[in-house]
Amino acid sequence: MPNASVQIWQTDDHGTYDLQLNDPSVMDMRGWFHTDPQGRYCLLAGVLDSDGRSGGRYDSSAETARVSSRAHSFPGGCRELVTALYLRNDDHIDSDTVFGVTESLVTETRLNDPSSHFPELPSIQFDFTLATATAEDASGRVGADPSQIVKGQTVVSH
Amino acid sequence: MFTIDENTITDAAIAQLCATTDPRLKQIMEALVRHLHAFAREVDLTASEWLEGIKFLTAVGQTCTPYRQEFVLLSDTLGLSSLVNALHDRRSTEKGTKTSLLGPFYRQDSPARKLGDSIASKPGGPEICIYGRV
Repeated sequence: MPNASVQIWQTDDHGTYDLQLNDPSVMDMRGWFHTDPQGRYCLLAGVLDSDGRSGGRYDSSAETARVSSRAHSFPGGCRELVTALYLRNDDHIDSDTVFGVTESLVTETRLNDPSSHFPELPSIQFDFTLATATAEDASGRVGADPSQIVKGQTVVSH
Repeated sequence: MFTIDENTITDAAIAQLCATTDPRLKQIMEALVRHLHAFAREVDLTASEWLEGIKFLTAVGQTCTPYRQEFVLLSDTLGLSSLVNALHDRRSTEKGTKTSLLGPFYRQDSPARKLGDSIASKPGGPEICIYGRV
């Protein structure tokens, strides 16, 4: 899917999101990417070690990153996908208090991965499959930016 | 006029919704009232327990700020968010990657970056490469 938007956000190594650390105008550990003509994406994120994550996480799960993906170029449109990736070797993989962990979203870190653009770094490879948009809920996002709920604008379009 | 007792109160409360013109909203609110009342009857809810519930919801509301949505967290920990996600995935015409929780820390205007960039503004710690295809 060329030129699909991929938005990713994560906590720091203490399990804290930027929104919990800073003035809300400061955004960190998050970003938008667009896939290349072959639908590929690639980015660098912080490593979350188990010790750091057990502290301040709101969900104490093994989540490594949350991802939202939209494709603008697909004829007929795609459902926006909102999902999260989890690490198999995390101590909390079976005790997610918010029930987000599911087998197909569990990933593993690879070392010396020859397919990675940064083979000297650990890597996670994950392909996202978007479903075709359906008439009733093409936007498809389950949730919203908290500040937009307060403003009464729960539907967001990019 | 209704004779209000522990059972007829449900129909009386639903009758209040008769002026709701949006049929979907009416369906949702009627079901909410029916299930809420059934819950109270099932556990034989006492007045002091009801007050504890009100205090809890009040505390949840008072924890909310323009950038902290405590009701989303409550929905998450009760499993409601995951249930809504599962229903959302079921309505899909084909099988895509499974949905997970958006969470309470999503921001809609996060910075645009180029492929291969780091999402951390001060990448001091160890990094990991995440890659794949959409």
